[in-house]
Amino acid sequence: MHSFACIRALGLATLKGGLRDRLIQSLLLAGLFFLLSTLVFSSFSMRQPLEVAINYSLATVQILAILVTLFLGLNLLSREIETRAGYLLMGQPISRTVYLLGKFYGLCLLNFLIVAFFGLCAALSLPLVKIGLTNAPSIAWGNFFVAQLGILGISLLLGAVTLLFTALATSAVLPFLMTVGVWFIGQSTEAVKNYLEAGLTAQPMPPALKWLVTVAYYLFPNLSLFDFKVYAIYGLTIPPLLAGYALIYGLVYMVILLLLAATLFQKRDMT
Amino acid sequence: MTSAIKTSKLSKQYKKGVRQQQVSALLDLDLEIRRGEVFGFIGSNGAGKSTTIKILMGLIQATNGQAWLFERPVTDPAARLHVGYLSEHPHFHDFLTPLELLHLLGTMRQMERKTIARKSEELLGLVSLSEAANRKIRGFSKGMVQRLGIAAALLGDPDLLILDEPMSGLDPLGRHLVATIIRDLQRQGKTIFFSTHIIHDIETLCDRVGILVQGHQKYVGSIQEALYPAGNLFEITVRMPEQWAPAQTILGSLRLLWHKESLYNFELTEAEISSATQAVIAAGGGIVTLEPKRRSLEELFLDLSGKFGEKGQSDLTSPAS
Ligand SMILES: Nc1ncnc2c1ncn2[C@@H]1O[C@H](COP(=O)(O)OP(=O)(O)OP(=O)(O)O)[C@@H](O)[C@H]1O
Ligand SMILES: [Mg+2]
Repeated sequence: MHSFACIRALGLATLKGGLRDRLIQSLLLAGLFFLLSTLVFSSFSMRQPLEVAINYSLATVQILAILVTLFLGLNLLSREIETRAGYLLMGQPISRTVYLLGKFYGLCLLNFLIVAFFGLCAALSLPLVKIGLTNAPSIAWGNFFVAQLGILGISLLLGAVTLLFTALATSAVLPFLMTVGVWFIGQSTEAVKNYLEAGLTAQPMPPALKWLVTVAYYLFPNLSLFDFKVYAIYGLTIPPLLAGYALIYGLVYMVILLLLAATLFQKRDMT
Repeated sequence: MTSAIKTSKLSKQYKKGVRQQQVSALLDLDLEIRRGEVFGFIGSNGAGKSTTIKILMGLIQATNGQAWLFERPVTDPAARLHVGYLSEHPHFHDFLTPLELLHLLGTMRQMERKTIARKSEELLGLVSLSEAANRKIRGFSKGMVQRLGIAAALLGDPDLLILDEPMSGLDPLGRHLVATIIRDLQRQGKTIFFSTHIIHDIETLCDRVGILVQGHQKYVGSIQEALYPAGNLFEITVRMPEQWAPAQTILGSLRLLWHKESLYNFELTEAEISSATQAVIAAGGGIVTLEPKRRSLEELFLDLSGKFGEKGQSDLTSPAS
């Protein structure tokens, strides 16, 4: 019971830190500005302004959530250990795992708030784009919602990745850069794998490369799994199996990351 | 009676750099701090004081040996439940205010909301930070941060305080405050373990001291015995009539350390005291002070390192504690 109270308190403090962080504040402001401007621009779009608006607004929320995760990880996790501010907390009668989970909870809270707030902003403005459009398709709200959840999934996975790297590295920038790397790779592993497996390459692929791609596919988080933008844009039916698989995959991957991070963190010298 | 802190053959080697070069920071430390004791932990820079303290607080892992706080191994987070800690370089979440920070810490110590609020207010008043209670820590001066650190260490009403250089960065009033706090806590029966470089604090506050030299414990015991070892020299300051010269009396055979107007200061052995004082009075002078010559902390460290004179470690073996 007590551990939960600690995780909650730590999470709330982290959330506070995130909302009070200058960099994150300016990111949020920029996000709001972007969201508004995409709506304006989409209405100038000749073809399918509604589809363009959905695409842009979802992309904005996604990039925002990811950037906030990255910077929260940098400023409120890695740097907290680098500057020793976290030592005060670790010197309290709590285990390192509780500390780590508290931080992760804070990250979840902030991401949830951001996705909810910006998702709501986008949702409220989409009907505005529709005004004056003749025979515009109706918006697939359910899919739009699932797409938001997917975005949340991606940013939380990346948050857990940052946590793992923070437990490993001693400098604050390293986890940041490595998470950025994971983000880029994680987005494309599936595409690369499919491309190679379809045998579309001009020359037959060396087995070593094939092996490497397969390892990367299973090692790095498959982030494209959480990308439901297309379904939201065109109102296609989301296969329940796909959504369920993404959910379970995300949860399992996250739990593994957290367990690894906690194990490594336990052994770490806080000097 | 049970001990507040106990270590057994505690050792720490840091691994440094890519080549994992080993730095031995602490070797076979055996320490036992009784409940209710004020214990000073001294040693030159890099002696291993902070290393020991960080092991006690579970921040770093010992390479060898074990340590306990109130009989619980330090690897168990619950060992820290009744312990307040002030780190060497306190650094706090600077986006929080002192009240918010103390609230967070209080929650982790399983304190009730109301108790936290009352205690926070009381402690911030004690360290003169009431005015800044709702200001972000970001703008705090070094001394203010140190004061907040002291308040944070006292929050849970701990039975044991582990303070790493609590006086560092404080103004004279702050130092006085910390000394007062330590005395008060001692009166309440709390145990205090602190590291310091200030000899005055050790002399006025500590029941016992432990001295570390390059990771080795060289002395545990009373500070008086360490600073005023038996067979030590004395210093006498006397006021003499005008036109007096040491050579006229047996004082002439003593070493004159300084002389200013009618005041003379000599160094002498215990055996020479009575003849010297009689000579002073016979010459119509007066004794201003007579005290054992104190070794400076530097001399003590040098002695213990075995680099200074013949006498050193041999006459400083710990009176079994
Ligand atoms: N993170 C670290 N990596 C490598 N060596 C370290 C590390 N921290 C401390 N040391 C080494 O361990 C030894 C003891 O350091 P420690 O900080 O315990 O000294 P200290 O007694 O607290 O000194 P000071 O009075 O300067 O605070 C030193 O030689 C130091 O260089
Ligand atoms: Mg130190």
